[in-house]
Amino acid sequence: MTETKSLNALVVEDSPPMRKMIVFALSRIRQLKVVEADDGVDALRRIAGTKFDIILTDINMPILDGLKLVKRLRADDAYRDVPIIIITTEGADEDRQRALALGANAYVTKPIQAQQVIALVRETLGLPGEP
Amino acid sequence: MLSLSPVNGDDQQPSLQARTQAFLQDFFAKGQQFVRELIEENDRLRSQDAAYSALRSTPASLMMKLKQQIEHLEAECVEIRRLAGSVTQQSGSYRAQLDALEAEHHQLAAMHVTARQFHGATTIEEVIRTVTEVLLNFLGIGLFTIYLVDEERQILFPFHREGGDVEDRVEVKLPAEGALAEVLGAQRPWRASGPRGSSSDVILQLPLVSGTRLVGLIRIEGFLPQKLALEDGDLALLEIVSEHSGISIESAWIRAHAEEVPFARRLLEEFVVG
Repeated sequence: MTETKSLNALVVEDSPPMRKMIVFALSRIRQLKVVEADDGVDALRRIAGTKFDIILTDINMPILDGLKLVKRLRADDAYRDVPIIIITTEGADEDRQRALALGANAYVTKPIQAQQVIALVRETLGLPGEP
Repeated sequence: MLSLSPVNGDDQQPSLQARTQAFLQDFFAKGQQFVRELIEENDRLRSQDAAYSALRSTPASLMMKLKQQIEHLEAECVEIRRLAGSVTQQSGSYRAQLDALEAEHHQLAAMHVTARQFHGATTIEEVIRTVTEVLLNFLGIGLFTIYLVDEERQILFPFHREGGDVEDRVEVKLPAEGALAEVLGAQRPWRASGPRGSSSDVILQLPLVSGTRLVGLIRIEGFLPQKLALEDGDLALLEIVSEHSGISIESAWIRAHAEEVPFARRLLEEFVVG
């Protein structure tokens, strides 16, 4: 049996129940090891210690919001190409376009469905679907 | 070539008879050889003919065999297609079942997380924050007002509003009238089968109840642009919010006042002693 490579995911979300739901969804992907961050500043702190393979972030957060975080990450050589998925309540098209223009790879609006997030993360990381 | 010239009896040459004898022997030996060669040739031709005949008959039998094999393979193919169709149908059914289970799993997780958040909330502000996060993030409700009960004044007063200014909302007198009276009349946590208290600008009025005691109300006024309507799973989550947030608000209130008791006692003691 071949050993599956472990991947690191960072979930940046200031709402504890929402963060728990995203972590719950990601727990269905066996290869993923998930780390949680309370906001953008906490995310930058976590990034300094670990190399993440994918980042899922909210937009509306105190101190450093999700869009500023995307901008900071894209300016960092180590995170220039790391996939970033935005999960937000902001459903307007201009918000989506702005996030994608800054370098986000995908944009998902709340409320989310676990299957939707799982499928998107799998597709983004090129992971095969579960049987 | 045998010569038939006359033979002198004095000569040492063989006699005519001997030469005739020799001639005949040679003639018959050659004839025998010729016949043997004919027989061999005949045998060779016969075996060749048999080989040709066999060759001529092989394609027909081979064709027959191949035809039988094709028919057999076609029959197998039909069976495999039938099985494949059945497997696809079953697989589709399993997929649908799996999707339904995943959706239910997600729903149960949302309910579990919501209940846990309410149980962990120790202040009114934490309860209100949890209500806001659940309605906004889990249900896509972008416009709502949370009212709390002032028992002394017998009113519901606006405490927090999401998506608008709380100052735009006014107090509601108790006992309520109209659609709200119907909602509050049950004196128990809201159930999806119960009245919704809807009106032109209100989608649903959710009482926040602790046991039979009304502690507040959430007036749901609008969705986020991406949310169109409440689904069955959403209603189940609203049932949790109605009951657990009501209990949490009352617990937070009791906790806040319990903390005041020692302080009040200390003040009284200091006043008496002092």
